[in-house]
Amino acid sequence: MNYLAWRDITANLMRFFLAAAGVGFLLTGSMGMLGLYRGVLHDALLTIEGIGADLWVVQGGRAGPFAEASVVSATLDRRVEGVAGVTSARRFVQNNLQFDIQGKPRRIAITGLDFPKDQGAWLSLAEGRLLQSGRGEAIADASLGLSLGQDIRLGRDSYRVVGVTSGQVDMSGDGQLFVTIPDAMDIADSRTPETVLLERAQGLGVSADRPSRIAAVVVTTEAGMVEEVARIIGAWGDVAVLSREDQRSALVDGRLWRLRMQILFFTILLLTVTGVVIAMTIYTSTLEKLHEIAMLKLIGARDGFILRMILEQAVLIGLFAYGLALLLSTLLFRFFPRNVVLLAEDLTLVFGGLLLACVVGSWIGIERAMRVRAKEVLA
Amino acid sequence: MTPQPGTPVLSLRDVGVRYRGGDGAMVEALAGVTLDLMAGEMVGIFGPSGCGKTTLLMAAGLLERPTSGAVQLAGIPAAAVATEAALRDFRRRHIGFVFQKPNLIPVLTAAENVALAMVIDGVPAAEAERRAIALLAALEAAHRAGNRPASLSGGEQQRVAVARALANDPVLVLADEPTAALDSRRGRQVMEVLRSIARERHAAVAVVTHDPRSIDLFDRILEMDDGRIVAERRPGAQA
Ligand SMILES: Nc1ncnc2c1ncn2[C@@H]1O[C@H](COP(=O)(O)OP(=O)(O)OP(=O)(O)O)[C@@H](O)[C@H]1O
Ligand SMILES: [Mg+2]
Repeated sequence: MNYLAWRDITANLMRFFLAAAGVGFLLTGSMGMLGLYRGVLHDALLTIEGIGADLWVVQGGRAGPFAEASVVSATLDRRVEGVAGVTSARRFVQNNLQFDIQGKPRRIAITGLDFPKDQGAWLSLAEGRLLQSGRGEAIADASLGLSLGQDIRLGRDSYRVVGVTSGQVDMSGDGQLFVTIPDAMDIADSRTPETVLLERAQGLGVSADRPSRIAAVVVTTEAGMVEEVARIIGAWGDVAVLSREDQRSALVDGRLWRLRMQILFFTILLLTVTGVVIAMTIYTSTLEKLHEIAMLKLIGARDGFILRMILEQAVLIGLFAYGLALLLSTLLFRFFPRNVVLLAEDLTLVFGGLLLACVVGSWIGIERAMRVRAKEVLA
Repeated sequence: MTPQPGTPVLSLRDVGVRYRGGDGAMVEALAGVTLDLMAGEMVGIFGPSGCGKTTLLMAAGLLERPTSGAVQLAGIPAAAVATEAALRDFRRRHIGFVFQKPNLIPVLTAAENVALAMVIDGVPAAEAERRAIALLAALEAAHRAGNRPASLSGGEQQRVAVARALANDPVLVLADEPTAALDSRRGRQVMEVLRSIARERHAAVAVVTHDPRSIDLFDRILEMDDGRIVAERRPGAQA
């Protein structure tokens, strides 16, 4: 590095730090944006990736149960089990409901596990154990604020927390609570006594008479049988079959693309502001130095020397700001209400955008410096 | 390059410079100047304000392309140096400038200011610094090498500026009122330094000045008026 650029920075440390801090906060914003998107993506795919499904059987014509609603008969799993090549079929249901936990309203993603086939072995427990009873037990995510052994009243019944997961949330960041399928259906169907009375009076029958509904059936198949099984079940017509890849793209390209676009625009906006801050800093510092620049040209400095001197300052502001942003990100993001995931490729993207902002931002300063003529020293 | 004393370093042939004035009329700042500056000589340029002294230095220093006439430096016609970049390279290797104001870079120390001229010419920074301190020592300013310009006296600053002008061993040194901001004793010192450059380094030194007290130091004195050289004297010859 040219020591003139370095000395110029140390002589105006305050300006350098203010610019670097400003740019640093903007970059922290960019990183947070991208990290938020990655976090939402991660959370959204958590169940899809974790539950270990080769195929999802959902309501006909739908891409549920995550990207859109899906309702199928609670006995669909038995039909699916009969298909050659299927090794397991589990029922799946998930409802986002709001309950009071310790006096505060909280949203809970209540997810049904097809006990006893599924005791929650695919979850990574931080504490406690898997489900061992068909009724009244729950595995709760730590983000819900529930602790091991605690009893929680959901609807008409009370559930005991036997296991605790960490980071097990759904796409909207609601902590998941895992109970058995019948429990999940009860919780979702909890009606006030008055509603029950009213429905009886209208002759709608009691809840036990209603046909039970679940969201989907989770299927695993024998190796190499995925396509064949999908073809057979797909031919039934009343249901739709989605592969794990279909589920991913229904979410990523369907439900999340607006968010992705939004975040991309915000990131571009922040990087543009970054460029403007750098431009302002570099331009004013160049204006102050026009006489010196004329002198440099007079003693024979090439344009490249002057250009490098200005660019180096801009890049140094950028590098310093990037370091600050990395530091702030690692310190602060863990306290954010949503999961923020920093990926190396996103950090590289921000870095690339930053370098571009440095170059473009210093351009007007450089352009002004290039117009200075050596003989202006004598003016 | 070290030219032989007495050989011409700079030749101006009928050089004219015209400017477009504020009212749109053309100002003839230099109206056909013919002049040879020899290696090893120190020339004083005198004349009333606005007579074209600075313009003459600019034409000689390849800062201003003449409207008419020809400039030749170190045997090379300036007109043959086509681009601004090439002109700058040429200037860096052959010409040193000193002005009324030292024009030092405030964030650099005295030594770094001098070294910068060499660094620009591709000399490694450590080597440049070493040579800069040697130059400052020759100008009796080495003890201030590590100081910034703001903490130097006017005379010290001007000596640093002279050291910078000498950094790349120029064949031509052009000084525009280098002592105007100094008291007479310090002014005299700077003039003596310039004279020793002519004597010891065999550079051609041209000094524009209003100061009659240093007349005795010049080999030749040129009187200018209205864009022309109107008289030439050799003070030594009179004495
Ligand atoms: N860039 C310019 N544009 C227009 N006119 C100019 C320009 N530079 C100089 N002049 C004019 O050219 C003439 C010579 O100017 P110059 O600066 O060479 O005089 P000088 O002898 O150095 O004067 P001083 O002793 O005051 O420094 C003056 O009339 C001046 O107004
Ligand atoms: Mg002048």
